[in-house]
Amino acid sequence: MNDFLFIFLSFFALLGAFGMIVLHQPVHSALSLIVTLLALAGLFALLNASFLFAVQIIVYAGAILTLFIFIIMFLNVKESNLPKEPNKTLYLFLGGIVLIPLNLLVLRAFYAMPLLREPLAEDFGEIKPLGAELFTKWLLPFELISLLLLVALIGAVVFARKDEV
Amino acid sequence: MSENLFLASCIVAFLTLFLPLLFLASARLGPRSETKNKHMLYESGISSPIGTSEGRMSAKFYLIAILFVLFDVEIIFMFPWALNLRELGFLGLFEMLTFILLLAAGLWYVYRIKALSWQ
Amino acid sequence: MFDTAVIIETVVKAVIVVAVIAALAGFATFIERKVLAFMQRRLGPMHVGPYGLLQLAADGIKLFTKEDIIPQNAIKPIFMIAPVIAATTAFVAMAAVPYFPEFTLFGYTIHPIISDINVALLYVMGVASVGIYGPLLAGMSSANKWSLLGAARAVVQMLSFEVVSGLSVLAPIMMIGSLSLIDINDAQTGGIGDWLIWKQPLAFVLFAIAGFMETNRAPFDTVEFEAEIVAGYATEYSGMRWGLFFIGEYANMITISVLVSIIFMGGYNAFWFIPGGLMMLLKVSFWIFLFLWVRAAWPHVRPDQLMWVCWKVLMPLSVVNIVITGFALL
Repeated sequence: MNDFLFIFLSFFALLGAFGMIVLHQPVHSALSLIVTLLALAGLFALLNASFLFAVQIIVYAGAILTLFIFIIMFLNVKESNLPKEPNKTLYLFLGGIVLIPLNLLVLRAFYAMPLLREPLAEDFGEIKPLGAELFTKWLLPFELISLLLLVALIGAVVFARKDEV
Repeated sequence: MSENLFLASCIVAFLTLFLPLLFLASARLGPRSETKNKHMLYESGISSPIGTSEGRMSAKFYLIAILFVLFDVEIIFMFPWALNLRELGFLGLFEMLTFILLLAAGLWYVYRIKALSWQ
Repeated sequence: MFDTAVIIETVVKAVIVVAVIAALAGFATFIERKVLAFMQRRLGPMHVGPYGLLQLAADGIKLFTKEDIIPQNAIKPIFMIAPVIAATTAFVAMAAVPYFPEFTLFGYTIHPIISDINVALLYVMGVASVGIYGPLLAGMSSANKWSLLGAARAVVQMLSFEVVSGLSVLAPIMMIGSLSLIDINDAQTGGIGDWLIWKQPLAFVLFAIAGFMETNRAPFDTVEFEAEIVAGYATEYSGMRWGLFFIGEYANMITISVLVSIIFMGGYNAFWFIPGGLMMLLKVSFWIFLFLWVRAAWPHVRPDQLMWVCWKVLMPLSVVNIVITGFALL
């Protein structure tokens, strides 16, 4: 059953990613990206990583993709203004071939990873132990994140206001 | 446990996808008629719509969406802390205070330049 | 990994929950008309059946058999799936919500929750945030300026209030230390004095306000305020496609009522001689009634006032509430 779910979810993740590249309209691309993100959330759920599962849904599918579609809605690009992509299939094919070495590298890195000898703790990946870890061992990165968010916030405000005054 | 959830939401999603389809299929039961103006845009009864939906919108909307993304990330980080509040003690509280204060500074800046005031 | 028994149990529960909530959503429209009518010294629907009870069936038949109109210029596939997304997300969120205390039926213990997980609250919030795509896609695919404006308003307001609801629910979580709704319920077993509403009054008020907003109910229904933007994102919708938005809205209302009852009002714990299940029903009915009462009593709020109150009042308040709770607990 687990394998079946894994294959099912991976299929949708790949399908969404593929559609995201192939589809012509930006809205359709964004929608198929949502499919990918939700399927990834399901994969996290299969791994019992409940925090990542929630983050994936709330932040990626709920917030960032909403922002994408929101912007697509505002820009309101008409069909006639979309760029013509005459040789799209060819380029996709060539791009795929170019990326093969990279994929091989990823595969090799994957097989080079050490196998997990002892079983993980029962609650591995759940929110509570993750919080305990994050707020003791990974304190500095956590505080740096808030700095990063602050910079992003100010940058967004500056950009959004530029052409308004 | 999470697998259980996944299974459950799949089942509910399937059911609720099935339900609307059933509902929508029922529209075939009623009579259908084609008239010239039926598929026109709704404009409170005026026969020719005024303006189009193609105008650009205020950047304020976009700004709010960006702010939401940032604060959403912040809130997500607060959940693991809230669960471990007692174990982490005052140290954890002050960590979180720093985190909140940095973002509050950003929010204060946004208030300050009146980016959130809608006229 | 899964027992066949578990799968069957889940399917049965899911069917029951979806059917009951869909029926309740329909019934709630009737209740809404009646309650609003009585508050305005009218009688409401009276002609179909005793006390107008069959009005529900009449409306249903009318809605089901209405012609499915797709306006010209609309982006067809997106226009067609938007209401389905709205209804589906409203129901999927219910997968992690417990309704009643567990009970025994034919010697088999039943937990009235489709799936008991330890991140239930985050899950419900997450699915609710995905629900934004319903209005958003509906508005952008309709090719109507009212729809577009309505969608922009809807998204901006739902996003803003998601921040408030997320922050306000943190304080109770800090006290209980669990995201599971069952744990939150079990932390309030000691009668009325144990309800979190007394310890977290501010969080309760903030969460309730955010709940009203997220369901687009009055006084925050600027999203579909007839006098300003016709019917908002649903302007071009008719028949059952519009009905799906409607069902989604009422299902969301029920979910919010259940959440508020569990987090702040003691959930399904037995009270005095009243059993827990009945208690839960009473609380949820009370909240539904409150939704309607507020609609009858409060005027609309302007969108700019709404944004003002959200970002400059409610959000700082909820952060302050978290900090105070943190200090008080340690």
